[in-house]
This record gives sequence, C-alpha cells and structure tokens, in this order.
Amino acid sequence: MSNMRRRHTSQQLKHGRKTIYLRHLRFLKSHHPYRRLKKAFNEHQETSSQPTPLIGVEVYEKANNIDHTFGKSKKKSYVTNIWKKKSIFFDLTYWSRLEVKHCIDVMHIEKNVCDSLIGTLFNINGKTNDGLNARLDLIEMNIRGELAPIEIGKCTYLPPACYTMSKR
Amino acid sequence: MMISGPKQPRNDIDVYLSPLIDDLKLMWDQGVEVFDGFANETFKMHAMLFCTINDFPAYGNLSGYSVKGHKACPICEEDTLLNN
Repeated sequence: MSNMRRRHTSQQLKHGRKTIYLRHLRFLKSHHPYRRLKKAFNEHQETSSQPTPLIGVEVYEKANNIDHTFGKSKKKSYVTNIWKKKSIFFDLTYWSRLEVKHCIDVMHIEKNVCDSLIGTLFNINGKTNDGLNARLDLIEMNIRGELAPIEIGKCTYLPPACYTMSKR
Repeated sequence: MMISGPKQPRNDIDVYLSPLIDDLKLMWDQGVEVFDGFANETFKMHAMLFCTINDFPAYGNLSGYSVKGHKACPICEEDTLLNN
C-alpha cells in the first residue's frame, strides 16, 4: 500500500481540506542531491523522471474526436474525459505545430506566492499557512514528527519550524 | 471584445472567439493588403497567433483541459493519479 501511495501526485488533505499536488522533486535533474534527501521531504527517494509534456499533435489527436456542443445542455454526458472540448484554436492550420501555445500570466501567481511566503516566514496572524491544520496533516502523512502540535492543558502549542523567526 | 452577462462563458468561449479565428485564418492563408505610409506603398501582411497569455482558469477554458481536481496538471496529465 505504501508503495502504491507513493506514486500518487495529488491528494486531498484531511484537515486543510485542499487538493494538493506532490512529488515536485521529479522535475529535478536525475542525479540532483535533493532526490536522495528522505528526511527533508516525504521520507521517500524520488526515482521517477520528469513527465514529458504532450506535443501539439498529440493534443490534437486527443481532442479531435470529442463531441461537444456549446451552450447549456440538459443531458449531462457520462463520459468522463479530462479534455473537455476541441479548442477552436485548432481550426488554425499551424496551431497543432506550435510548441508553446498558452503562457500563464505570472502577475497574480507571483503576488499570491509572495504573500503566503512572507506571511508564513514572519508568522503573521491570519496570513500564515503554517497553522494547526497544516501540522495535523503532517501527522497524517507521517512526516516531520518534531513539528506535531503539543497540547498543554487547554492550549495547543505549535513548535516553531526551522524557518520561523522570533518576535525580536 | 465585451461579453455581456452575469457569468463568464467558460467553455463556450470558443463561440465568441470564432470571428477572431476567421480573421486569423484569412491573415494566414491569403494575407491582407496594408498601406505603409512611410514607404508610400501597400504590402501584403500575414499574421499568426503565436501564443496566448492568460491565467490558469482561463488556460482551462482556452485549451479545453480541466484545470481543477485530481488531474489538474497539464504536464503530468494521466500520471496525476488520484488517491482513493
């Protein structure tokens, strides 16, 4: 089971109630030292290599025979497909030959990532992502036992992580 | 382009994009005569859509790929296995 579980890249957090995507280590080079650091990450070595992105023609083949009508439909199709439609851009003759079709605008991503990084580093109340639920999820995943919350009477005490800065 | 309504068209954005695609097709196949004021002559202009710049939800709308749930990563795709 643990071997199976290791393969999964997305999983639902029990306490944080979010879908998370794991195993980013496989995007590193094949002999990168981080791949062998078990303790620092999820107690497993990462051996698999980076997935190859689909090239345009492959996407075209996948999306080509999707029957999709626009607008609201009363009947819901029961065929579950990760591709929802054949994009209209494929009408352009050169579209399936392009290497990079869609670029993601990084403005908002940068802002959100910086916000949560700074909030977590300075431990700002309400902004930090390192709360009780995050620690409970760590117990659930069986990693970083030293960060488990300690209950003293009524209060729960979160041990400071290695990056937490003190008030001074 | 303005799209009216309280909700965004989501996957149906293709319907609104079709005039743009028609123009782009014309520009790719035949080209359009354009007047160059500096050289005082007309030339045939060709154009192509190189890439789109959008945020991640719009990426799903434009490409037709689902960007939510278990298989949300467009690179890992099928390998983004779910955990039951």
